[in-house]
Amino acid sequence: VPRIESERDRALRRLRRASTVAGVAAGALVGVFAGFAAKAFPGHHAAHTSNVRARVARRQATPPPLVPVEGQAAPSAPAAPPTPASAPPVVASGGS
Amino acid sequence: MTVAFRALGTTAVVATTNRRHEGDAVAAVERELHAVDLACSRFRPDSELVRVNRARGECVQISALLFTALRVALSAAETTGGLVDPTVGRALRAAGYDRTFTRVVARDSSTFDARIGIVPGWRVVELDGAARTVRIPAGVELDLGATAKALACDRAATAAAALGGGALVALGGDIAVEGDPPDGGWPVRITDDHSASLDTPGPTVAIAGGGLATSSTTVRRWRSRSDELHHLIDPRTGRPAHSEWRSVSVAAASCVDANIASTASFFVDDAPAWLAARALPSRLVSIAGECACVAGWPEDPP
Repeated sequence: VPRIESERDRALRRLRRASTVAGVAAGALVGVFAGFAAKAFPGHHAAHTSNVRARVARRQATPPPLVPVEGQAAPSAPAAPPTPASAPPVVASGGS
Repeated sequence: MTVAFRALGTTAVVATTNRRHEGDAVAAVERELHAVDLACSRFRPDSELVRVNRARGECVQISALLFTALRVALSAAETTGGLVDPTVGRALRAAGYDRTFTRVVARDSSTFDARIGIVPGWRVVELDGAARTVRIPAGVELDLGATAKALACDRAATAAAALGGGALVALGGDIAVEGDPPDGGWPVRITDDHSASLDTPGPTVAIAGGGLATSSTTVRRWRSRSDELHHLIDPRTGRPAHSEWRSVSVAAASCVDANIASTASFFVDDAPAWLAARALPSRLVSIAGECACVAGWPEDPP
């Protein structure tokens, strides 16, 4: 009988150890998944920043589908091109 | 006679061959420019465009003038394949152009970091011609800077010339001429900066009709903590364009057309070829200062 009790005690100890390990592992997993969840669904401020970054990243990776430039109606040419002028200018054209 | 005054945050110049109605011509131009400013300004709190940008996705009833300006802007986007796009407003704001330019350059650059903005693309703009309304998605901001100034020139020149004779209207370097020009055409000095003195070195060309516009990255520039930026936002990247050109002048059938082409030139791979393919007489100045003249633009004098 003492031998049977001893085996039962050992089995119970193994079971307790297994329960403890399982509990610690579960806690760690909860922490890991909480971290993932926090990143995936952050608060208002962080959400705005990360969403903007994500959109910017997507935008940089894939430029918007633009209508092909060639083949479109172009801005119209003038009736006559500019000619060299010797008269004093009345105005300047430049960047503003 | 030439009259200069401040309008739309820059310098306006009016010249007319009709001496009898000079004052009326200037008044007509001032009225047009004021109306365009009230409709299209991104910075006037009482402008229609500000109301549209703040509508949070709601449909907005607009004036005939803003409707025309939006139609022109969307047409510019369509004809350039989205290179000249009115939905760059938010990207401009992110780059730091979030107030009048005078206040942008006065800002302490060490306190400011530029960000990359989103350019959703002109197709998100819903313009209803029958109801004369516009709707843009919440968060989208329109900027009509590329086309509204040129449109103002075209309209003002038409209004001034309607009084008789010929008229030239210039607004920050964009020029429209209408009516009978003086003998030899209207002489225009081509420079990097429209506000430079008229005796600044540079070629002078004459135009007899249509429009002439110069886009440049040398003038409307500002600094952030780490970057130097300018106002020509490439819609494909949301960032100021990186171009081998610092200044592009284009002559076209109207000032709007000239401005569309000079702006788009900063975003295409081969600007001289792009302009030549459209038969648009143009003068391009590289960052290094070398000139290229295409489609009949006269070579610089030696």
